[in-house]
Amino acid sequence: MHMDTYPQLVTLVILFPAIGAFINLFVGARLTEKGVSAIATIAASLAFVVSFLLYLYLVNSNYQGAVVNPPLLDGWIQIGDSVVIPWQQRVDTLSVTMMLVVTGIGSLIHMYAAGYMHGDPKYHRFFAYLNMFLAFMLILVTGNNFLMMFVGWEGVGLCSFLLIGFWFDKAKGVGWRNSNAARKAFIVNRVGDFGLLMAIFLIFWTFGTLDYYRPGEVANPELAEGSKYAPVGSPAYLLYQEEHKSETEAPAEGEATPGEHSEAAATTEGATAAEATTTTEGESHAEGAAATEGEAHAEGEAAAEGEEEGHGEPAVVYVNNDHIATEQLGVFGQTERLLHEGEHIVDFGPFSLPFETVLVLITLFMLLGAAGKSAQIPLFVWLPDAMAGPTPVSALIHAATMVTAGVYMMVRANVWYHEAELTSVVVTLVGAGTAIMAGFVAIGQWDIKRVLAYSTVSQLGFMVAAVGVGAYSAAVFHLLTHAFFKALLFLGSGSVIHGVEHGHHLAHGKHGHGHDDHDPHPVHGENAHGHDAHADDHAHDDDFDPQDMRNMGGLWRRMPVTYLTYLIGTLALAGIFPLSGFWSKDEILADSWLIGLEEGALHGYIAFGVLFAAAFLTAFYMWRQIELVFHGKPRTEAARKAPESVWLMTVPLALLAIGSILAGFMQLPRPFFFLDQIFGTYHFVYWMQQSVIHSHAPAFQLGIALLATASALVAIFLARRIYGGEKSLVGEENRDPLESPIWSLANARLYWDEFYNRAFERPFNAMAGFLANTIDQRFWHGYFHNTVIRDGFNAIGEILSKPVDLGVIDGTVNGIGRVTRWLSSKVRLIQAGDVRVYALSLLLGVVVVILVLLLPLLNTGG
Amino acid sequence: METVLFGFGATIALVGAIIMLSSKNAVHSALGLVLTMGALAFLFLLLNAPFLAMIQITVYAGAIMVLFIFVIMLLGADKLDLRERFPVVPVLGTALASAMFFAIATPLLTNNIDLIEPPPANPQVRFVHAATDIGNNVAVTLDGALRSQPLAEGLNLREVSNFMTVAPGDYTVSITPEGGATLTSPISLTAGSVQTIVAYGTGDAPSITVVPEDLSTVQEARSSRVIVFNAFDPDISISMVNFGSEFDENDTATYANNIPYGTASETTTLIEGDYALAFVRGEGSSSVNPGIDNVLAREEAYELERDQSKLIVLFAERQVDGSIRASVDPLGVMTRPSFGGPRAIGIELFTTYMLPFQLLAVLLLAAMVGAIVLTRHAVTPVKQRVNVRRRVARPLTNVIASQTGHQVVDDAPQLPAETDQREPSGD
Amino acid sequence: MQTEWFILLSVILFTMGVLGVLFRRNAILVFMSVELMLNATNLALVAFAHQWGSEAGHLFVFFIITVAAAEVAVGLALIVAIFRTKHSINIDDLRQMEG
Repeated sequence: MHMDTYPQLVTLVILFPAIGAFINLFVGARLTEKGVSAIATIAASLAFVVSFLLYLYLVNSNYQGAVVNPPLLDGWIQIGDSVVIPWQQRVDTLSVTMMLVVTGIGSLIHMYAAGYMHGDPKYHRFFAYLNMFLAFMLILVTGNNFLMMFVGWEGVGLCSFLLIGFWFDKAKGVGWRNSNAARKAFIVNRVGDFGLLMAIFLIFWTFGTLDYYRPGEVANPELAEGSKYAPVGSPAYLLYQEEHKSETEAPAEGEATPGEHSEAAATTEGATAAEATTTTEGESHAEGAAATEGEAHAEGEAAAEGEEEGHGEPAVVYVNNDHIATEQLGVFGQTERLLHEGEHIVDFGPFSLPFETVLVLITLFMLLGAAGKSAQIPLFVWLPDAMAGPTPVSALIHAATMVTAGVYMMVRANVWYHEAELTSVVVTLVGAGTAIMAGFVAIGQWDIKRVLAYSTVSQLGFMVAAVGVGAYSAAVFHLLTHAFFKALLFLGSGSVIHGVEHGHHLAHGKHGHGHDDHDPHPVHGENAHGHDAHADDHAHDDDFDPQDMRNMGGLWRRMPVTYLTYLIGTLALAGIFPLSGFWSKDEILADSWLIGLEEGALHGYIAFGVLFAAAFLTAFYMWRQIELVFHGKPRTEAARKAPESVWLMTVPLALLAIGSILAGFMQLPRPFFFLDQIFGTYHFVYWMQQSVIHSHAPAFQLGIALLATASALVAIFLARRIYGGEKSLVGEENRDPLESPIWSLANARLYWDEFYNRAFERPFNAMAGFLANTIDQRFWHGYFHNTVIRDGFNAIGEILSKPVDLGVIDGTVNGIGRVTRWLSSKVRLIQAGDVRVYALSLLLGVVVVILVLLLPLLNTGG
Repeated sequence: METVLFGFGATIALVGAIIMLSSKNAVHSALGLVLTMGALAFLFLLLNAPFLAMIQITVYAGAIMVLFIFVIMLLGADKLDLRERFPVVPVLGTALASAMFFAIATPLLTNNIDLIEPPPANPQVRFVHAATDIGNNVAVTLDGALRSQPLAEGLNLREVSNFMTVAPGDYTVSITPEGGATLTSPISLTAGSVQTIVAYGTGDAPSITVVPEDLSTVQEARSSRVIVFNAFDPDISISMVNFGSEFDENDTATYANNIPYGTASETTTLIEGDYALAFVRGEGSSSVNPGIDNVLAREEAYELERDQSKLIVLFAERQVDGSIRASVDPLGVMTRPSFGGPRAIGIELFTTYMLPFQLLAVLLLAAMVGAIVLTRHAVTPVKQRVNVRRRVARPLTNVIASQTGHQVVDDAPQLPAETDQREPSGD
Repeated sequence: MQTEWFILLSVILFTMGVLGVLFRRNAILVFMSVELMLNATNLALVAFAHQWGSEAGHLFVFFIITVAAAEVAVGLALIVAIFRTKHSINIDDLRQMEG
């Protein structure tokens, strides 16, 4: 298979998980656990393989993005000529990055879940949901238009709902709590979806299309001038040097070296190139801007001579979109064009707005959507509760992939966010606020998964803030590294919970716990605790909470692999050099600092300050967790007897740990030992630059890096001081060293839920009650239906039935009948059977007829 | 004379009717009716309806009245008129009958009714192509005040168009030879007339004249009317003579004498049969066999059918060598049959009234079958009645009891419950 | 000869037929009266045909005569049948059609 056709494979990346989901959904109940998990894991792995092939394609085609038309779905939505929304998939560096994350981490989590979900009665359904989630997530990240993104967006929301409430059938109200958490997630996300929908409507109204890029469109025309992030010595880098060495030189000089240029811009190979070249020269003349068509023409010919010599067809390679009419461009290309032209007004019928204002509106609405999906203030409240789902779900959906959809969307729309100044500030404030808030709450949580959940919220805040300060590449970079170590941490916590639960059963004999008796690991009911149970009643087995960190301690001896990997994840998250978190977090910090410094943007300084504090908190709560879970003495019998998990679970942990260590090296901001020889510097940003126009990377800020690392170390030290040692928390309520109002505030999660309860839930309930009781029951039912309609109807019916029906109508009918009977009683006397009387009446008729006939003939005139 | 005959017939008819009405003896009544019918047959003759008169006598006076008398005798019903039970009927009947009589008779006697005269028939017209040199394929139209009506298309020499009925009025005849100039001639068509337009003569501009025709009934028995039209030569007048039979060469007669060019002869009535006709120059002679030189044309065995009206046109026919010779073109038309005769009625009956005639035949057949069925002795099938089990086993007293509410018979069994709710039937 | 006189005679005869139908109770005589009425009608039709010079009147008379023949055949058969069952041809006795 030639590499040119690799982009076509992107259809399979959705198809594999979808097929896996269908198989498990419909025949999974008849398969064994091994069969089910094998199908699901293989489906996910195949998707990963395809993603990797696409990655190879991009590397080999010089990162040339492609728009793929999958078969059978041509003209997905077509209403006349005005609404045309094709089912197209986008293969470019951003989507492939997301694909790799989703499928790679997804595959590992599938593998882990195969062990974790062992014995669950709905085993096949779980994997069907997981595969379905993968399919939808891949639709989300590979779609070439906002509607496909929306399809994926809602699909993953559905899967999230299904998986959070996966144990809806657990006994003793636990199932109720689980399903409540699922509903909460779903409903909160509806608010965000409203924003996204509004954004989509606005986009369609403004641009007349929803496509990101049209086939043949060049995503980042600026790359034609080379890139400073390109590998040193590469043509793009040389081009960049040449461009910037002599700024005064005419741009035409760049086109003087067409052979080199065409290499830098794009190879002419591949389906994409073929699509691009289908635009004929005549069209380029007709449609291109007058100033640039000559260039495009010249380049095309040069490229054709350089690359395709001997071939009959002219292989014109375009490095910009000047040859395409504005309405033929995707939304981002149109934006660039319209901004370049300026003064564009969007007409909304009764009113019209400047284009820039519309962009602010669109981006703000998209921010609302992102806040829902990516758990930002004010819509983050669902994510901690979503920990009610099985731990692999928490890892896959609610830490690594789905929650990053909002970040992905904003990065995808970086053209708009770059332009919308106001939105940038808002996004920064939201992200930074979320980061510090969630980090603060995390230090007050006892539930091991809940800490991680708030950590996730906090890290998502980092990413969103990075988008706000314009560090799109850093946002995706952090998304990527975070996916590794947060998945690692979640899976590690799952392993811990699993072990503690197992240890609990070992410690308390093998009697049934009211769970499924056939289940060798009847543990998950307690996993599903969606609240930070205080676990004050350890005497009762049924209330034993294996997720409460106060029931743990000293686990590092019992679970060495888990401990080691968890430690790596913690350090990576805390941003300890040289683990991946260090690089990504540092880039965000440096970027926000630099944007303040260089552009004088206040929100840059704010973001830097707040995120710096959040990073400190991150290190603190993570080390607190390490201390409480792994260090010290076991505080319960369960912790004492907790066994290490099976290999199916530890292998993914190890792989993720390796990833957590190495992931950061793909974006080295400076030479670093020998690693830059392997990975190069600024590799990731160069990679991202191919699809994210405004991605850039700050120069390495040694001061900030040192400062951040130092603060993290201080936080770790602080946490060890407070929680470390041989302290036992068993049986002592709230004996936390931080018995302070601040800690209580954190423990109470800043009263967000209570606030929402008072601010929204109660008024909502009150209003619903008012509507139901007063408006509906009293007014509509009591008054309107009963009094107006029923009584009025009855009254009218009364009138109609008594006087009208009985009197008039029946009277008429009866009267007719009576008259008829009376008449007939008289008339029938004539009908006496006497022939001569008949003859007489006949004669009467004859006389009448004769008179009638003769009278007109009478000659009146004489 | 006719009045006397009418008074005679009417008197007899009235007398017969009075006898029929007043006689106590049914046989006398029947004989009175026979008298009336005979008188009516006589009146039919007066009204020029001999066929119906015969039918009246044979069917009515013959067949029907015989049947009446036969039945009267059979039933012995000759003196069955009994007392009057409904005195109101004769009184009312007399009043109504008088009313009817006066309603019709009064306007009749006072001549107070518009007896509408029948409108005369529309004129009929046809075209005869006897013009020697305008060739074949002639189109003829009648250009009237309102519209043009094509009379003939593609008419060849010697040919005649069908009669066309048009509205009375003034017309212009337009004759358009194939590839030639249109010739026109005004004609006036009056109601009731039958006209034949003849185009004749040599050269490009033929003459046009109108010959009136008579299609009424030929009064003479087995005869036909013959008219001769001279269209041969402007300089020659012609005569049509009998060229003699096989038996006697001297048996000649002149039927049309000395007809000038462009005119028609008087109507001659000839008895049907084969004629040897000769058209001769100048005057015909009744005694002398015309010289062979004078004969312009001959018809050796011209068959003359009865009740026809013949128009014989003698016209010039162009020979191959360019010379002309006389040619005869006899055009026959069926005349009207005599009114009221069997032939006239037969023609109507078997053309216009064919369907009613057939229906009548079926009616007669049905009447025959009906009469046979009705008068047949009914054989009572005794055996079947024994085997039939009657389903209604409820005593009549029971029904009465249920309807009146009284026990008619003391030991009557009670009706089933549901029949109690049944409505009493009306009457 | 004026048509009016024939019509007048026809009307007279018809009226007499009507009176016969109304006065006589012998079914056969009633029947004969009907025949008289038919004949009167025939006379009127023939007179009109003569007036208009149209054979249609003659044809209708022809049809009427035919129908009358059929009618007489069936009617007399009926009378015979009735007489067999009721031994009477007094039409006042024939009251089965009483409503």
